[in-house]
Amino acid sequence: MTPPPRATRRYDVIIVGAGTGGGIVAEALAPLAAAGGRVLVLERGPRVAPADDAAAPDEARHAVGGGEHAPWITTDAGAVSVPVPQGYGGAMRTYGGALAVPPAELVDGWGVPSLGGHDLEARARRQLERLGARFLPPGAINENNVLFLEGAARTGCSPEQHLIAVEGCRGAARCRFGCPNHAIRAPHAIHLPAAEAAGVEVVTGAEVRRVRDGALEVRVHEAGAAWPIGDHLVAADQVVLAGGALGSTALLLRSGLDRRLRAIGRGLTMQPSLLVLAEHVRSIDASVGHPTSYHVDRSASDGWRLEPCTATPFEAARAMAGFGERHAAMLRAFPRLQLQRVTVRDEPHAASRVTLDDAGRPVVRYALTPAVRARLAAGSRAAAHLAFSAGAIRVHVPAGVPADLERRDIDRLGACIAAHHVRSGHVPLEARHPAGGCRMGHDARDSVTDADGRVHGIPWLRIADASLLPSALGIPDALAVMALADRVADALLADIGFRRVRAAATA
Amino acid sequence: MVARALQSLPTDFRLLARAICPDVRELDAAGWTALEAVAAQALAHRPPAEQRRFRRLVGVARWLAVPMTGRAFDHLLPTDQTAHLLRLERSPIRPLRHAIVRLRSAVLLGYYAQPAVRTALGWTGASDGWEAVRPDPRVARRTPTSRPRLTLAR
Repeated sequence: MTPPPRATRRYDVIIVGAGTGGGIVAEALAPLAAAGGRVLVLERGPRVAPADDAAAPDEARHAVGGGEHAPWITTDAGAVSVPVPQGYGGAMRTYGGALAVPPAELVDGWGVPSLGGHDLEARARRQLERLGARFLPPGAINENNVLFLEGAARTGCSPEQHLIAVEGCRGAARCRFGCPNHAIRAPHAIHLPAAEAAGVEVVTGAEVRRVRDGALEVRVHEAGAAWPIGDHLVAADQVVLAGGALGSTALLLRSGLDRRLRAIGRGLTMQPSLLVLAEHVRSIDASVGHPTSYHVDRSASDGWRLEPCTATPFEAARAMAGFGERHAAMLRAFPRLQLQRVTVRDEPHAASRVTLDDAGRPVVRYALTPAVRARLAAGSRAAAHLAFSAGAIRVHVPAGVPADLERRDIDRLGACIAAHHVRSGHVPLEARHPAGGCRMGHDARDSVTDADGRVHGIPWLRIADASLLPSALGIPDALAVMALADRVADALLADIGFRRVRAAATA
Repeated sequence: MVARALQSLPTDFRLLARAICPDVRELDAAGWTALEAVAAQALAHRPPAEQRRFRRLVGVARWLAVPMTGRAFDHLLPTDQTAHLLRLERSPIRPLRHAIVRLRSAVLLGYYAQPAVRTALGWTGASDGWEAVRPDPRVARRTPTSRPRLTLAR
């Protein structure tokens, strides 16, 4: 047996993951680095060069993965595709910039001791200011969003405008592949560069395999990475995990910590979503302009929300039910397609959890519960009704029987789109906001960390990502994760006796 | 390794591709090569045991055409091949259903992700977005007729 390597590097703080949470913590620790402290960020994925975003997107690589890890996994029953964001900036590098403040009453409802909803809301608003989020002006709204507004008005829905964190958006509508104009305001553009400028070290292409006694087993797999390819053992006084709901949870499971903390891997939520495509007689062109300027949010009352969105022909094809001639005919109408996304809130369920396969990779088990099926059906009915009201001649609803509905079907949407039609593995679903797996709570009997992300019973280990969330928010969770990471960073600095200096807001 | 993912399938991949996406008929030789390369990459991405299971299940799907339709899969009309695979996609047998879904994903990716196909279908995806489709800024866009509620999104 090969003896484990000896620690070759030592740091004051190591952050695992250069995504949303990791970026916030890294920037908060920048003054520590500037004062001579050694702060390291380890990121499994690559550092994407700006020129790569500017090139036409290579969808095959995006869908299959060109490197060490797959960008998607599917749940055990094949019910839901789950994105596995990786790389410098994580998920927010490829989001559309739409942000939502976590409601204080929902946070208070989690019942996590000393976690105040108003504190988290205030932190989220500070991040909004830091990102320079604002409403897009009317002239920047694309036709797909205008149709959404018109349909919503005719069906009595109440659309709200999203706050968008973009600067210099030219309407390329390629957010999902990384903005070619670098307009997205997120940790990859703001927080991480500020941290690096202050002396925080960021190493990409470096996967943390295990954590043990204040040390990390790291495998560097990227040619040209700052460290040589191979296995490294790195020691730290404090470790902050920010690898996301799947990444951080899988790392703790690989490290065998579930023997001490039974809640690891449990309480997973997904906010599953599907696309509804509607054919109109005139051109819409959802592939130009900011994709998601508005939404209809019925999450709190009915468990679903609707948003206009964009998709490439492949993304639209994959999101539709079935295949063959009718499927192809709908895609031939691509420039005339109105695109909407239905996303639903889901609750933690005993059967929804993260486990590992033999190679230590995360396996997601997910229960498509009757409540989630009912919300997917209700949201799909609302989207179909909205589209017909906006003038659609045909609507494709993946959860419909039949999936292709004509205008004459508008009065029987309830019969065509029902909860029992949403069968596991039969309707293409995508996880919008995977969360949970290392939830916050009282103690080791019910949770993995306290309200400040400290792992119960392990004083050198903290978590600062979506895995902390005790339940799905029902809204885009990026701001909530940023606010939580901000709180975790504050507690860390206080624990090590370093006074925090806040960065000024931009824009 | 990647090329084997298609060659080792128990039936002609192009037959399956045509049944899933009829528009692949329009592809020229270079288009077919691109489709097969991407589909093979998508199928070869999984662990070897999973790939073996997938190949076996595609064989089962092909064989099932005889008891389910009375004819060998290769001899069915293209529309009947599509109908046969669609029935299997809705099968209660989960592994069989998964195999068809994987095959479908590989074919759709191989076809619709091709830059020429995307452009032909009308996906612009230009870096300069608005300017690419409306170079003259004096041409007004249709703007929202009613002002929605402006809130901080909760």
